[in-house]
Amino acid sequence: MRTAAPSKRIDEPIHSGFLQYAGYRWAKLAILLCALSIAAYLWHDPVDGPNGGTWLGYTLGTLGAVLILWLTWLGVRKRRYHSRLGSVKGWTSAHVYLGLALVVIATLHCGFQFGWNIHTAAYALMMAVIASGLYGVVVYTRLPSAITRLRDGSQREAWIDEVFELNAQAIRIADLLGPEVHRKIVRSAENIRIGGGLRAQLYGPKTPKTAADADAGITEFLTERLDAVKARLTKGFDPNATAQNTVMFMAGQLVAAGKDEKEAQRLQQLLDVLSRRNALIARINRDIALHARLQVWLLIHVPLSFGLLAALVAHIVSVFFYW
Amino acid sequence: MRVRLKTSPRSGAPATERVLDAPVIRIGRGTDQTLVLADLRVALAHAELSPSTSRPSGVRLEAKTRLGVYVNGSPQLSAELSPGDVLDFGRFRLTVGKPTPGEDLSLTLTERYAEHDETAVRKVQLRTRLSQVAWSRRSMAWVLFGLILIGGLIVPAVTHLHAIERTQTVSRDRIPPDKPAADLIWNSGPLSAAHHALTTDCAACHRKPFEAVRDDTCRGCHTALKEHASDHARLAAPPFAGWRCTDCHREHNGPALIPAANRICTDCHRDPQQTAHGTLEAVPDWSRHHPPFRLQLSRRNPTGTGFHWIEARQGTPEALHEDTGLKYPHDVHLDPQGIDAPGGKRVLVCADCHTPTADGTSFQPIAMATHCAACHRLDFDPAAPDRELPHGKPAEVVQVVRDYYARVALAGGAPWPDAPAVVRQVRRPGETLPPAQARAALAWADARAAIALRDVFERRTCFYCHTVTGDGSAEHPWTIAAVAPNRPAYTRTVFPHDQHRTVPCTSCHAVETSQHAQDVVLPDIQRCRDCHGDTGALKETPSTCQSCHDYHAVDWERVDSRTLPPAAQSTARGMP
Repeated sequence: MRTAAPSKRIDEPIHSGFLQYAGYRWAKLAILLCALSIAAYLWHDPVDGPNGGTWLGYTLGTLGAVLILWLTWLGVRKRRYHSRLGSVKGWTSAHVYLGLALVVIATLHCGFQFGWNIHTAAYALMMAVIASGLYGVVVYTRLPSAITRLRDGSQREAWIDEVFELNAQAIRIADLLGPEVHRKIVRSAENIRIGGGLRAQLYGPKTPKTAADADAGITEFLTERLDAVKARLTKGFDPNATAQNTVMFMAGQLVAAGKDEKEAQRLQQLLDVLSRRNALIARINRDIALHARLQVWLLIHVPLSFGLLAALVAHIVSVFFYW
Repeated sequence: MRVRLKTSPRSGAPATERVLDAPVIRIGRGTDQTLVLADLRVALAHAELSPSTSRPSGVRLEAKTRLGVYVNGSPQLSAELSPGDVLDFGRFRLTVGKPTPGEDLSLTLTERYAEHDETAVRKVQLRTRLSQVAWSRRSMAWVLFGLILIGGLIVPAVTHLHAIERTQTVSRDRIPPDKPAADLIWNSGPLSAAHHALTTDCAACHRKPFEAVRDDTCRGCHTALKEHASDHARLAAPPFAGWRCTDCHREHNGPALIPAANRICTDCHRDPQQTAHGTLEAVPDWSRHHPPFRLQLSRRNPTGTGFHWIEARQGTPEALHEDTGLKYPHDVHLDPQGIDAPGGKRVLVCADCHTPTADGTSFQPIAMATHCAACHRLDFDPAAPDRELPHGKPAEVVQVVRDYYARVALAGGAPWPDAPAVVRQVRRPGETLPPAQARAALAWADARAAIALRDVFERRTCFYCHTVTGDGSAEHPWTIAAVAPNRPAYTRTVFPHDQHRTVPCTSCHAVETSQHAQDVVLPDIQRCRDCHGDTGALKETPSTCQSCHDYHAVDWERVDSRTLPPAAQSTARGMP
């Protein structure tokens, strides 16, 4: 008879963040590490003053180097979907807290000795990596919920499809409203901006001023035209018209009114389509910006981490090269 | 005009050809156009092609809508066409080719994408992810990795190895390069003030990769540096065995090169029984456990001739006096009211007699001629105040005095009223005294000289400063007691007087109350501790062992008086 072995895996609610992972287990460990390092640093009183070359300096340096290698390994671990060596969430939690502990450990390792050399360069790179990582922690705790709220169960792909569809629809309607409207709407469709370069993705695309003016002009133009048509429709019959030509006039009015009604309908439809389209574009660009901000720090964090690895190798080799 | 139109569903696909022949080729969505393009974004009448007015056989494009025509990607209201131009109308594209003879223009019409593909194609063209706009993180990472590895490791390493090959082992003749090489970025911190000139010359000390700086490299310049003990057998044994220069002298840690903490000395000296040898005293620290100073003091030999030296700890009765062979009351000489001198009272200060040596650490020996003679005149006869006795030669003094009075007696004309007539008589030049008169004159001279000599030796001149024995008789001629040669009281340190010149001498040396030359007027350790504390002291000046003791400079056992050969005596104190 088999009894179920008690599971060692921590059953975390799937939505709880990596910062709270396992009841702040890694935060506690990081604080303990820092406290031990600080205590050892205060207790230790080397003859030549605190520096990386004392036994404590070497100890903290080794600890720091091992931490850096392990922290970098997160980049590998998170791609190993079959790995059973802890969950990626646990790794991320440890990555954040132990990465922050590195600030204390590395600073104590160097004994506050800084200079224009490869050693301080490695330190500076490490601090830059940690600072960018800290930004990452902030955006990872804030932006995903903002994205969820923005998407509201929908998808960006669907929105883009809809924008193209609305553009086509707008041109179809505009074609029926005469060449001038057609021209304006075709131009407006050409001018839509979704995403773009780094800046455009982060802060929203910049619409050229002429295009922005043109867009504002279109709504005004269409609204004015709609108002004019509506005014014609509400004017009704002329009470002073003579009986003789009333019949002819009435017939003309009826035809004209039918035409106007259709035009008003189309204009209203076109305005609705454009407004829906512009709202969608704004939402898409907001979504792109949120995603870009969620990712952009990695453009610094990852390359600087590799730079740090190289500087770390140079630091360690040069120290033992000169011994 | 004639335009050959090649229609191809996709670019590169087989085309069908036809010729459009009209005065003006009109392009648009309207059915009345010469070339009908069925795309809603195209205006009913979108553009016209007509022969150019400015260019023979050229073709001019004129947009008929303010939408313009996209010529090579940018919207134009009119354009002169030339082969290679690309005109976009919605999803349709017209490519201008070279006209065949007899025709004005050749156009290829393609559809950029099929109508139903358009959304998909345009979506693909959108850049909505960061990975589509920035350099890939991976490539940036590897580029940075490579750059830093090359700049931070490979280039400095190659430069350094090259410098090792190029230069010889360090010596005093070595001139560091003017400009730093790439290995400068490996410099972990500023070099000490003494070695700062080597900042650009890593290879001066770091001679072999992955090996610590070796002692013989240091010895390349520091050739004359002594070891901590003269006994080589002792140096080869613990605690000295295995120690290297760099164990104490930690470079790249700022301006100071001597250990900042006394622990490096007291680790051995706190318990010398364990580590070195039993004759050393335990010195666990300076402020509380450093033993009282050991003074080297002169003692007159029991035989009465010459001196020997003892070492006595301050605090013991032996350390309170030394035999100098002189009479010298400091208090009298330093009387603030002044001391009697030729020409009246004169106030003396320490510096009147104690002249610093060139290095400022110590003082030049006191010399009779320089420091005493101005007051302590060696004249012996008031009638001849300019006549002075030779100093330091008692036998000669006797001769000089006797000769002087004999000459005066024989020459005649002496001023003393109590002298016999023969002595007082003024003689003619060339006159010779008869033997009886001469004997009488010499007898007076001898008696007069005896009085003067007794005065000189027993009451005045010599007697002021020296101990004189003998009564002037043939059996007991006068003997001046020997004066002890000057030897430093501290044998383990040279006290840097120059570094203490801001404090008055009397704050350490109790000379104002010293009545005898035998007084030892040296401060005790407590006086030093008033200002000097251990390294790391909060209030006192943190002082390293090296402030007083030099690990290298002095070979202690040679200075030690007990083993010092009698001949090797340092500069004599007192009269030369």
